[in-house]
Amino acid sequence: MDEPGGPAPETERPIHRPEPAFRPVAAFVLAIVLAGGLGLVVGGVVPVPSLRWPHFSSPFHDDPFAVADPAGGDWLDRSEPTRVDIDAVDVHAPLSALGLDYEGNFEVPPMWRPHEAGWFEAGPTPGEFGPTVLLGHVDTDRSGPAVFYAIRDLEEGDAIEVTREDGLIVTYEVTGVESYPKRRLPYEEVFGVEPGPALRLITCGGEFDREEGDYAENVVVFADYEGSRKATAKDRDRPLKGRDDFGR
Amino acid sequence: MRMTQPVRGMLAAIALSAAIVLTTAAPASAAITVTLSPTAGTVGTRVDVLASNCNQNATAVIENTNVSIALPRNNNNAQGNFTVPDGMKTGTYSVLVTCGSETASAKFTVTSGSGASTGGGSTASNTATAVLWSGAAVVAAAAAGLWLLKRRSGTAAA
Repeated sequence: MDEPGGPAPETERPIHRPEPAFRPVAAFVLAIVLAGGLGLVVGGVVPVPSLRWPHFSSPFHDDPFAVADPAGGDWLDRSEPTRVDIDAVDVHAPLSALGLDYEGNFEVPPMWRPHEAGWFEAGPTPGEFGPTVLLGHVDTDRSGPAVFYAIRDLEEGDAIEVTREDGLIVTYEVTGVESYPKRRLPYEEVFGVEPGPALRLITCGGEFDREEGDYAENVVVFADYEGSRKATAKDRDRPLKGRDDFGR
Repeated sequence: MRMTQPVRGMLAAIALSAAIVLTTAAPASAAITVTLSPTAGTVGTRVDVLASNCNQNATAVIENTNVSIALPRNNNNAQGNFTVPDGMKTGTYSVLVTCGSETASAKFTVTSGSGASTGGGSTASNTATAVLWSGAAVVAAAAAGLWLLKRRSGTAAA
């Protein structure tokens, strides 16, 4: 760049003319950018199969009760959950009981109740031994984000509170957030026992398949039991979000 | 109905806290409990069954099916497993354990095996289209840059 030769010829050149060494470098960089852009265009047109680490499972089935003893702690008795509160992502939702639909798929809250989440009624209730599963929409068909839109942003250590009908609030701590293709939802992990009561939040994620009208993946938030406390007046006064808080 | 829940909850809380005090005072033995893992799954899923506080060999049946499960004694519990048989209809079934003179049950749900349809798609961006257009924009910018470079080098050479 610094030619010792001199200032004299420099003055005759146009001021904005690039240095000789600059041009090939710039051309090279631009060529790479061009190639990258072409790659994006091709990638946008041709569907790229997502690469996934194959699931290796042990040929020896692990005994889930080797580490998890249902009688090993003073867990709570059955009492249905009524609401879930996650301050970290501003979720304050009523819960309804969910089962299966006529095809054997998981029932979900109705689309026109985007503020509502549900709990899998056939499973354990919060604080009982075993996994309590809550399901909620990530969005609705028209009105935008729904109750569990933000749970993908939960981080390890965030607190989740589930209030039970008996007035106890069960607290959980998030241990992880995972996303799985819907056809390969790992039931053993989501519906299997842990050493203590556990909570799983399920919503949708991944690409939206417009032909199928469904997302390709399920986002699952895993959380472990921390303890329970009696709901105080302050707890009970926390406002629930309503339908008007979502979309339109 | 939801309005009454705080009140009901409060009453229930008082009742339950009293109950907890009573139960913790009692000796922690007695009633057998049944735990399944996993609690839901598709046909072919292996399900482990644990009958806690059942200090002998036990048996279990799945309600409304002819599936019966042996639960050999294992420490202070009885434990076994079953595989959800082909052709078992989706739905929730009670797994009924008999341990001596005592019985207890837990629920298992046979699902279609798919995930939950928890989205309507209104917040989904059409990623493919977005990628396509940003790619096109990058190509256009790079091409313009190259053309400018070439033109300037051309005038300099002339």
